[in-house]
Amino acid sequence: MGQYILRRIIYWIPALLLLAMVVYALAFFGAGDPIKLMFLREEGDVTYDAQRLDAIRREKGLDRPFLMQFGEYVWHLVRGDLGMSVISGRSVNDMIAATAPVSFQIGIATVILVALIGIPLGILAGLHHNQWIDNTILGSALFISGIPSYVVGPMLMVFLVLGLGVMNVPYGWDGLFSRKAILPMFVMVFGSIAIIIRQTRAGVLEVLSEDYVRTARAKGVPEIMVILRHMLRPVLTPVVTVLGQMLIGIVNGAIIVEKVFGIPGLGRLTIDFTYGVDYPVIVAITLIGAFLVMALNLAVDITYPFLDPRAGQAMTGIED
Amino acid sequence: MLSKHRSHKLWLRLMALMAIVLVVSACAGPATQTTTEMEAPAAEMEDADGEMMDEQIFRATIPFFAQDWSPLRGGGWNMHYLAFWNAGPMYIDEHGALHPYVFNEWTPNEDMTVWTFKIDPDAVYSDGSSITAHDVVATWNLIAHPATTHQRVTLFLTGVAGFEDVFNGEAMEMPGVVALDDSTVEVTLEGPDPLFHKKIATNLIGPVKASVAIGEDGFEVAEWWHPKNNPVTSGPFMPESIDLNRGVVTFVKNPNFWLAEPKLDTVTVTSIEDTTIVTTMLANGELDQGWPPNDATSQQLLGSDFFECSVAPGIGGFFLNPNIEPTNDINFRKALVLAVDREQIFNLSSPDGRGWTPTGEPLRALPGQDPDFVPHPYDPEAAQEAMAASAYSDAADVPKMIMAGVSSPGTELLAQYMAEQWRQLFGIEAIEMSPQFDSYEGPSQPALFRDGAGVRVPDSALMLLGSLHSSSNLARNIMGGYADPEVDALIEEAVTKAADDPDRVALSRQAQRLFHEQWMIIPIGTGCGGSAKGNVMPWVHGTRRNADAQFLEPWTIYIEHVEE
Repeated sequence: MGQYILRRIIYWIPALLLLAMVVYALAFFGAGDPIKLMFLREEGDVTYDAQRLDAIRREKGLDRPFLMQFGEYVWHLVRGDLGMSVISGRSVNDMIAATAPVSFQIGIATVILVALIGIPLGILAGLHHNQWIDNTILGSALFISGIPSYVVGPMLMVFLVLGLGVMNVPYGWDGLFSRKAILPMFVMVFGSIAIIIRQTRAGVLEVLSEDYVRTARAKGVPEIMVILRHMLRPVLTPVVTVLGQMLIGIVNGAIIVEKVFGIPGLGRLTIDFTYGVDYPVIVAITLIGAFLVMALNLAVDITYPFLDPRAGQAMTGIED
Repeated sequence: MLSKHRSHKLWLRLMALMAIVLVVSACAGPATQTTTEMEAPAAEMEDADGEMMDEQIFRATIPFFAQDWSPLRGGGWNMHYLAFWNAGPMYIDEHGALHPYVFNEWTPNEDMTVWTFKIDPDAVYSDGSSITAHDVVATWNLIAHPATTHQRVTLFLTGVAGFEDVFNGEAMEMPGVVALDDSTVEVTLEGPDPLFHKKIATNLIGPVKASVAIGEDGFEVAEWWHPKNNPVTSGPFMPESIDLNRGVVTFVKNPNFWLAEPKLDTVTVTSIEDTTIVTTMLANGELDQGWPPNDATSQQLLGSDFFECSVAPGIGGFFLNPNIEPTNDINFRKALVLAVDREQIFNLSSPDGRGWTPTGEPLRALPGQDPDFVPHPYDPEAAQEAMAASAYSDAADVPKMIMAGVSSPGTELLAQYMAEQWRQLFGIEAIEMSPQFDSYEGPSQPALFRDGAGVRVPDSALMLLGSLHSSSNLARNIMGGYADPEVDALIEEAVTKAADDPDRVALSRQAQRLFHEQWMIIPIGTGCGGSAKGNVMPWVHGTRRNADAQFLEPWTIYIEHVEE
């Protein structure tokens, strides 16, 4: 297992470098000029002068050839330095260090809540297949998930703040266990829960017809034990995969919720700095995202053997 | 299948993982705690007599995630609050009157080419040290240099001897700005400018303490303005905390501010990009000032007084590019302009009927406003005649036109209305509306560009210099390189006339008439120059704004909730 993990990690290095080059090149050649945009975004009597812009580029070292700039970026990158933001002049390391933990908190908390609520509901729906419980759970989940977060977030907020007057606008971030986190977490959880309910329900329906479940029931094993000991693990295997992908998605891109509720996470950073074509920030966020995808995929792979020993055998190449 | 022992182990691991996550989450609070809680607009504190009094907190917001709070940038949404913490050389009030600030005396020589400014002997920074002439010189050299990326420096320092060289990064110092002694600055201009002193009356070029803001290399010190670096400022307030990741900046009273003791204790500026949130927070009393959309919902929630309408100088609309097809054809431009009903534009722009029908007169609301100015009429028949006389009498010959600057729902509505008029009258269908814009040049060059220009000094010649003259941003970029030698010559002559010389206005009007006859703009808007009070809630008193988009005399602002 150790060798397997090491091999996987070594593969990451060229992949991340290649990705960095592609994203840097896309931003450099295609996405626009951050210096120009800095001035174009200002309306009215701004000093937009081509010679001046050239001078600014020269001062910031942005007039050098692509390979020279990218080479310098990689040189800093291998030393753990993600560079400086073109627009703000801030250290990208500092920006990521401040925002990534917030996104991780939201991502992990969302996944835990989705799992804690979604899996039992999915099992319940599966066990009562095509009955009113199943229809209610599935229908409600799909209905809630069908409303986009950019609609449900502001609507709920206006309703609760101005309509009912039960809370202040939950703008900003005071930590996961603050009142301000309740509404964004609600939007995050209920935006994602239908997937887990459906996945779990499908898994339950599949294993219900398995011989070992019928055998267990025939032997008089209590229903709760049948669920916990015989059904849960095979059902959870694909669910864990989905939860892992969900976590990646949330950490990398809870853009709308972070933007609407003013949460200082990676999503907000992504949208604000992509808009300004600040390529050191764009590349850094992409690398963090890619690293996260790789790490979480590895984590999910490592989790599989606990849920299904056959997966572990396949991974290590050891057969019984 | 897992054994019973391994199953327990798995559950134990999962429980341990959850516990770790919860502990980490609980420990990981916000990156930086601000001193001011949004929920406490009027925190109670005791005065000297032990009586309870409200702490004066002004909670403002900007619709942009501001990352750079240097007072040397000359742009950005956060610059709307620059007057709170950065003192300008002088300032112009909402009526156009000039007031001393850091400079309390100014004298030109006879031919208006050399100006001498004296610094108020009481003017000090937040650390108690004097503001010196050397700081002024260093600051102006710094903002002229491209490395500082000041976005409007040409408006203020163009014409100063040596400015162009520093502006283009070829020199570090302007020989035209020198410190004669600790409190005297002398500025030498390349030509006469009777209003130079008014041009520099802005917070956007206020002096900063050179020893703090400028490094040994002559460039700006990175993040010198951040409280973590103990910045020194000159305005009535000074930054106490800046959390760039959360977008919250807190200012407190500058104990050494020399003009008056500010009435507010604390000013917070929060970046809130979602307009629904801004409207909701204002309506819920969680903010005192903001920039919500001027739409029916916001008007209903915030009251119509919030969006008060005051007449202000300026010109705004869709400007036509005379240097690309098809708008290089004057008859084509005439046809487009005549086909648009300005009354409809006004109705679409102002659902509640406030404001005025746009006329497209650059000198509107200025001392030189022309009483004989006749706006272009809405005349579909004349429009069709003009189109027939153009090189594009067949709509199939009209190349695709890009309408740029269509960046808000309101503007999009106007653009759609115009495009529909042109489709119905002329059969023109190839129109692309562009909210995003990243180049004035190349194939994506717009035929029509929505923008505007105002003027900081209420003066006709300066208004035209900043809008119609070929050196202005509007002419060079928005109008795609508009340059009429006759218009330029009239403006150039006008700006050399004394402020009270009737020729200054007469020449300006003449330039305006020439421009008007060239069918260069489809005016939009309502004539409202934004709120003169700065979009504040009723309990905020003393706010006034000038044409510089600055809060005037912010030390006079205070909060008072009136019980109804």
